[in-house]
Parts: sequence; C-alpha cells; structure tokens
Amino acid sequence: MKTTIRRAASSAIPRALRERRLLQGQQGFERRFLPWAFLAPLLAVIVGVVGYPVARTIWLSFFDGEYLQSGPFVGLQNYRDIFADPYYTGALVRTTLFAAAVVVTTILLSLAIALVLDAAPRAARVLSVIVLLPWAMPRVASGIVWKWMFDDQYGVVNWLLVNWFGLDSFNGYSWFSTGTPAMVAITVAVVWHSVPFVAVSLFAGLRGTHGEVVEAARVDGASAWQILRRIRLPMIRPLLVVMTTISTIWAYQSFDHFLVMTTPPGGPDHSTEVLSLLTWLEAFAQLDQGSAAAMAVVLFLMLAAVSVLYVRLNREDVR
Amino acid sequence: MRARNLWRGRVAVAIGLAGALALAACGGASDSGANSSGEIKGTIDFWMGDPIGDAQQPIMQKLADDYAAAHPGTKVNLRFLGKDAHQTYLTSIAGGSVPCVALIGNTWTPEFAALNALEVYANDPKTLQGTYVPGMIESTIFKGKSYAVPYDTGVRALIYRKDMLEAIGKTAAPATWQELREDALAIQAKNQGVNGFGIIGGAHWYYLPLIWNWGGEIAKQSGDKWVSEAGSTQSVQAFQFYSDLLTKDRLSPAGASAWTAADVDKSMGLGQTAMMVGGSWDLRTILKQSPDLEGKLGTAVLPKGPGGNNDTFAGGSNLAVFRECNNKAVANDFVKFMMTKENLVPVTSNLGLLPATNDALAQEKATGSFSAPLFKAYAEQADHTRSIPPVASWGKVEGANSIVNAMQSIMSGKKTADVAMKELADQVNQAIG
Amino acid sequence: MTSLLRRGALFLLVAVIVVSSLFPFFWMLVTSVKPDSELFTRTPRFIVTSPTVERYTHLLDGNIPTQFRNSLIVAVATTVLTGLIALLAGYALARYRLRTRHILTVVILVTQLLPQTILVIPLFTLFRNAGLLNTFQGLTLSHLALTVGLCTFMLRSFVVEIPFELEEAALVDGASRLRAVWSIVFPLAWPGLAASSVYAFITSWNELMFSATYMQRPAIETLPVALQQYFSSYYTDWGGVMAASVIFTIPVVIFFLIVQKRLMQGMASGAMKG
Repeated sequence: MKTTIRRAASSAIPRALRERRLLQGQQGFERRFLPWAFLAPLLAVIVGVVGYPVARTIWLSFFDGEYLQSGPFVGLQNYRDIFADPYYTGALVRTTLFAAAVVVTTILLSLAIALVLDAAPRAARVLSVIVLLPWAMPRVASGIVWKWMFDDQYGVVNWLLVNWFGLDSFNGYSWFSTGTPAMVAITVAVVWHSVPFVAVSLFAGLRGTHGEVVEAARVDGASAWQILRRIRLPMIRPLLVVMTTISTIWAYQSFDHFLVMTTPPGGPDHSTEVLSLLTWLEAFAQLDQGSAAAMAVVLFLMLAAVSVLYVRLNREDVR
Repeated sequence: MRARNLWRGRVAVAIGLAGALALAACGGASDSGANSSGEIKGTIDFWMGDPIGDAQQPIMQKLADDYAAAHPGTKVNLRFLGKDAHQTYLTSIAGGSVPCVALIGNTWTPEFAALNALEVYANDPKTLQGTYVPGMIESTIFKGKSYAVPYDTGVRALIYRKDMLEAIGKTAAPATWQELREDALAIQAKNQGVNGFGIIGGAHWYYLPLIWNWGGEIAKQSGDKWVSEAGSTQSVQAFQFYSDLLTKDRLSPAGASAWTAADVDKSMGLGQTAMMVGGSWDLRTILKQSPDLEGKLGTAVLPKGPGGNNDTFAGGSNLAVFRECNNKAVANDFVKFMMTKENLVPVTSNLGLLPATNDALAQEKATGSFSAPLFKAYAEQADHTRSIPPVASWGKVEGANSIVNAMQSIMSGKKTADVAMKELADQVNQAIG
Repeated sequence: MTSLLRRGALFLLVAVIVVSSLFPFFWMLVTSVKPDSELFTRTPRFIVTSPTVERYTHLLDGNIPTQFRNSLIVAVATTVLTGLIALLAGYALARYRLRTRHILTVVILVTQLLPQTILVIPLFTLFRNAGLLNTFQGLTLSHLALTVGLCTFMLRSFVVEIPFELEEAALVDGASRLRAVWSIVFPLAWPGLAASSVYAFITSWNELMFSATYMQRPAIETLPVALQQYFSSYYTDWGGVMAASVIFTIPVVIFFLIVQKRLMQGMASGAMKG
C-alpha cells in the first residue's frame, strides 16, 4: 500500500523534499537506530584504542613512572623535567627544523612533479603509477636502501657526487658520523617516501582545474605561467593546505627512518634524536613512562596547534 | 548483476575472516607450555642477545633440538635478539611476557634481578665456588643471592696483519698503545687504502677499558654508593687518545665513529684494515669471510697504557631462568643440560669464548680450541680482566648509550674531552647513584 | 623549434622523475643478487655479471616465511576490518543528517593527527592486562587506530558521490534500507574501498613502532620488526639485508599494482573535494 502512494508522489514532490522524507526513514526505529548501528564499530575503535589511550597518557603524564609502573602523583613535574632536559629541547628544535625542511621540499617537489605530469597528459597514467610507487616501499626497507646508498665507502651517492658532479670532497664522505649530514641524508630518504602521495594528489587536483576559466584566460592571451599563478594554483589552494597539513603531521611523527638509519638510534651523540624516537626510547628503553607520556602530550598539542593554524589560514584565504 | 554477486562473495570472505579473528581472540593465543606439575614436559622459550658470529645460531639450534630429542614431549623455542636485546628484555619484563630461559649479558644480571624478573639460582653464592670460574660468579650476584648461572666469558685481544707489520720492519705486535699508534701510522703510509687501526666508535666495550689502561677507574665505591670516575684526568686522557686515533691520525675512515665490531670485521676481511681490537668470535668471522687470511693474521694480548696495565672487560653471558616462566621444571632441567661439559664446550669452542665452568675451561685450555696458536692470546688475556661496577642500574648507562655518545661527541669535535667526560660522569652518577 | 625544445625539456624532466622514483627499487634488487666481490667496490657496478640467489634461498630457509605470514595475517585483518568499519561509518555520515555529525567529524579528524607515541604506552598496558600482548588481535586492534579515521573520510566522500536515486529506487521497491545499502551502495563504493584498502594495507604492513613493542615472540614477529632487528645485527651483510628488504617490499608493490587504477580514481575524487 505504502509503496504505491510513494511512487505516485515521487514525481510531483521536489527532490530535496523527497530525499529528506526518505532520510527520515519509514520508521523512527530506523532513523534513530540504524545510523548509530553503522557508526558503532567506528566509535568502539575510537573510544577503545584511541580515546582511552589518549586520556590515559594525559593522566600518566602527571605521575611518576619507573619501569612502566605508575608511581606517585607529581603534578607538572614531568613537564618541568622534560623542558629542563637539553636533549629534549634539542630534539624539539631539531624535529621542527627537520619537519620544515621535509614539508617545504615535499610540497615544492610534488608541485613540480604534478606540473610535469599535467604537461604530459598522454604519459600521465603510467607516470603517476611510477611516481606513486615509492609510497608503497615499506619505510624500514627504504631506510635501509638509502642508508646503503649513502654508505661512505661503497655508496652510490658519494660516487655520483664525485664522478658526475666533480665534488671530490665527497670521496669517502661519512654521512652518518655527524648530526647535520645525517639529518640531510635522512631528510632525502623521508622526502623520497612522502613526495609520491602528495604529488599524485596535487596532480589529480590540477587536472580538475582545466576548464572554461582557464580556456577563457588562454583566449585572452594569458601566458601559461600567468594562468598557473593566477588561476590554477588558487583553485587548488585548499588541497595544498590539506597536503601541507598531512605532510607536517607525517614529518613530526617520523620514526622508522631514524630508528633504522642511525647508530645508536638517534646518534651519534643524540644529534639525530627526534621527538618520536626520544619518546619511545624514554618509555621502552628507560622505562620512564611519566616523562614519555609528557613528551607525547606535548607533541600532540603541537600537532593540534599546527592543524588549527593551517585550517585558519585556509579559511582566511578563501574569504 | 554478476558484479554484485562477486562482491557478495567477497564480503562473505571478509566477514568470515573477521569472525575467525574474533574466534581466535576467544581461544587465546598464549603459549600452551604451562606446566606446574614438575614433569619434564611442554614448551619453553629460550632467548639470547646479539649474535656472536655466524656460528651461534646453528649451534644453539642443534642443542635445542638435542634436548627435545632426549626429552620427548618437550620443545625449546629459540629467539635471537638483535642489537636492541637489552631494550627487548626490559619491554618484555614490563609486559610480563618473558622467556623461560635466557642467555643474558652479565652486566644486565643485577639489573634484571633488581626488577624482580629472575629466579634465584643460589641463595648462597659461595656454594658455586669450585664449579665456576671465580670472576664470573660475581656478575650473577644481587643483594647477596645468585640469580643466574655463569655461562661463558669473552675477552678481546689484538688482531693484526702479520704481513703488514713485517713490511714495516716489526716482528712483534705493539706492546703499548703509543706503539700501536706509531705502527698503524707506518702501515698506513706504506699501504694505500688500508686503515692502520680499526676504530669502533659505536660500542663502548672497545674504549672504556682504556680508562683502566691509563691508570684510572670507571667508578669507585664510597660507602654503599658508587661514584663515577669518568671525569678524572686519566679518563679524559684515555678517551682523548682514542678519539685522536680517528680525528688526528685518521687511522680509520671518518664514519668509524659510528662503527661497530662488525664493520671492522668486514673491513679486515676485505683486507682494508691492518689491526683491530676484537674477540675471538671476531677472528672467526673474519676467517670465515676470507679464509685466505689465515696465514696472515696474528693475535696478541692488548697493548698497555701509561697506567702500566692492559686490563679489559670480563665480558660474558649468564644463563638465567625468569621468575614468570610457566614451566620451570623444563627450564631448570634445560639449564642443567646446557651446563654439562659435553654441551658447553662445543658452543664455546665454536664461538671462540671461554666456558665459565672450571672443568670445561681446563679442557679448552689443554686440548680445546684455545690451545691453538691463534687463540692462545685470548686465554692469556683472560687473566687480565676487570668487571664493571656491580650495580643494578648500570644497565641504564648502557641503555642510554651514554658512553658511546660521550666518545662520539669528542670525535665529532662537538665537545672537548674535558666537557664530554664531566657530563658522562654526571650521567653515570645519576644512573647508578 | 621551441615546441621541440619544450618537448625535449619535458622528456628530460620525466626521465629524472622516473629514475629518481625507481632507482632505489632497482638498487635494492641489484644489491640483493650481487656476490660480495661485486658489492664492495669503490665504483658501484650497475650490472651484475654473476648474479646469485643464494641469499634468497638462505632467507627462505629461516624465519622469513613465518614472519611474512604473520605480517600478512595482520595486514589482511586490518584491511578487511577497516573496510567494513569505515564503509558503514562513512555511509552513516554521508546519508544521515545527524545532529552530532560535526562533532563526529572533528573527533575522526583528531584521530588522524595523533602521534603514535601518545597511544603506544597505554595500549601496551591495556593489552598486557587484557592478555592481548603478543597476539595478532592486539596488533590488529592497534593498527585500526591508525587506519579507520582517514578511511572513513575517504568512503564518506564516495558514498556522497553515489546518486541517491539508485538507493531510493530500491527503497521504493520495498527493499529495506539495509538491503539497499548492501546491494546498491557497497558495489558502487568499490573504487573508494580499493583506495582505503591500499591505505590500510600499506599502513599495517609497514607499521614498526607498535609491532616492535607489542610482539615479543618469535612465532608471531612481523616483518618490519624482524627486518629492523636483522639489519641492526647484520647490517654489514648488505646483500642479505637487501634480499630481505626485497621480500618485504614485494607484496605491497603487487597489491598496489593490482588496485592502482582504483586508487588513482579514489585519490582524484578525493582531491576534487580537497
């Protein structure tokens, strides 16, 4: 009975209204219960393995903690301790510089690659598969390969720098015995791994900008560069912001490459120690879960602040 | 329509998988080795740390198989931990997922005992005397009780290229560190592309003993506390000397500040390094890689420092049973099995270690592998050893890599030896005080 | 002439991109089959004269097959569960005007920017108390925390794309909402599922920090941990380490190549919306 009435009505009633009626569902039960049933597994995961741990970490950061056991309440002492620790503040600065280097290089390289792909439409399909491939190499494996390529004696990087670019000072140059070159080598490896996803996303975004506006500008005699700067880049600006945010978060969380590529982890002499590595070592090598929790909370707050900042920027630009 | 059916099939598979996972969760995946009846039956886990050369895994595997064959219904699962072994143990102790038996570094034994992770082996350590090499018993003791069985000792000595030394007109290995430096420079001048001395910046075992050689101490006991001596003049000079070998004399490539023994083994094997400090296990690794070096290599006791001694670490391992092991009957029986002369000697002789029981050691020295000319130096060096401070929290010093970091900061020129060693002393005091 | 120049420059750029993307793959493979005598040379050799597969046979005799299987179990379980959870949630977010939708969106977003280090300690104690340490279930659960957020977003945007009329037609025909979702929406969300599956699979297959902390028994060790430990002890055996890396890399690359078409579609439609 019901269905025939509905069918009769469906042609007369405007779509929006129909949709709304349908969304409200045939029964109150479905409307009230079904969406939550659909969301329940997600919420269970979010509460169980995300929400609880986060709350617990914040809680633990106010307690002393030795050997992964909770000690007495110490208030903000753990926070004071870590900020008084030169290794922690050093890691904070280092991670920030590293993240800035990674993000800037990643975005610029990705944009360049996206533009090349955009300029070679016939090859773009195959090319984007090739470009995306490094993303699929496990980080541990890519760390190992890059470490081998940066080897001082038998590495292909030094050989290339000496024989192709004539930089003789790189003969036997040791990338991993001091901090700065080690960070450079790791940055290269991390960028190689993070460019693909960003580049292909930007390429997809750029492709969507071909259209009447661009065509009209071309007819009006605008150069390709002008079109890119004035029309196409502004069109993908929101995407650029999202990609910058994502790569910032990734860069701040880098862990695998550092663990694999440095001896001892974070060495030599703490000179490649980044936040995630330091936090993990604090928790599972020093077994001091109080300080480690405090470090984790600070990193989380920083990432949240960065994200909010990007979102704000994006909004203002649009306005 | 076809596509939809296909999809439906896949969803069914997916749900099946998820269900299987859930079922497995209910079943529990924990070990089924639980056994409290005291019967020799069931499974135990046996872990060991950083592999000592290529020979270790097959030998240990054979012993585990032999044990299971001799005791039907038992099984020994082996796990070889990498360089992060110390951290892995700590994490598993904290997580309550320890192995039954483990071959642990002797410097870790008091630490793990302090964490209440190990089963007491002997309430009165004096009862162990006579059976075990005296120096080795000490490392098993925490608060008056013994928590592990001494298993082996490894000492390091000087490994060198006889042919290269002869080519500069020397017939004997250098007797002092200064002489070693001069010889290495001479060899390096004569052989292009050869490193005079293999520097190992990434592992503190290779330069911490220099503090003793320079006449200093790593730590001194005052009352019931230990105070670090890393800031003493002798300590600073010793570390400065080792660092200078790399930065001033360039006896190894700059990257050697992060090298570990494996790097130098490789380099010696490739004929690119003339001398190194290494265990007999290193010697075996080199010879296995390049058998043609056999006639060209020589060994000698370590050179002396200005302090007049050539003491080095009594490194080694202890066999420990963990308190939370759920099959102690098999665990204890397996330890007994491992400690018999018949089972101990094949391991130590193949790995190039000295056994920690007196009877096995006597056999090794008389007729065993340490009677061979190339290995005699190790037996000799074994009489010139010392231990690190027997404090539970020494593990923290190693865990934080404080000593390696100090050396590397001197090598990179980031800190002067004075500053770096004062900082090291502070860190050690904080950890062990 | 300028057009020829332009094409030349473009070709050169494409060549640079292709080489720098693929060289590490090539180098890994070449290193893994070179005998040591060709490996440790000051001038790198790009062509192998006498390749050896000895390292592979040696590795396959060891623990690698078990570790491979373990990784596969965890990655497949994570992928399947993520797909189910995210599709259901994505559907709910796309089709129902829930009053809490904005809060939900923010919450899901926040899960995506959480550092792993904030989860690693409490999950350790949680799993310890629940007996989930050293189990595939525990590790899979921890991996879900890393995947469900982004995948829900991906799938939500796909469901939004699916014309409502299709579903409506089914509903009008008297099918229940569940039937409609089952038979209309799921099949059409394929490209989205493919994209989110690759993401989930790769995330889980690569994950190191949780795996290294929660899996402490040889029988259940996963590849990233095994490889990291193997590397830390045998790093001077570059050939062996590279062979292990190749074995570790192959499944992801294959899986990636199988679904890459859908993945590109997914990323493109994701990019449109920014």
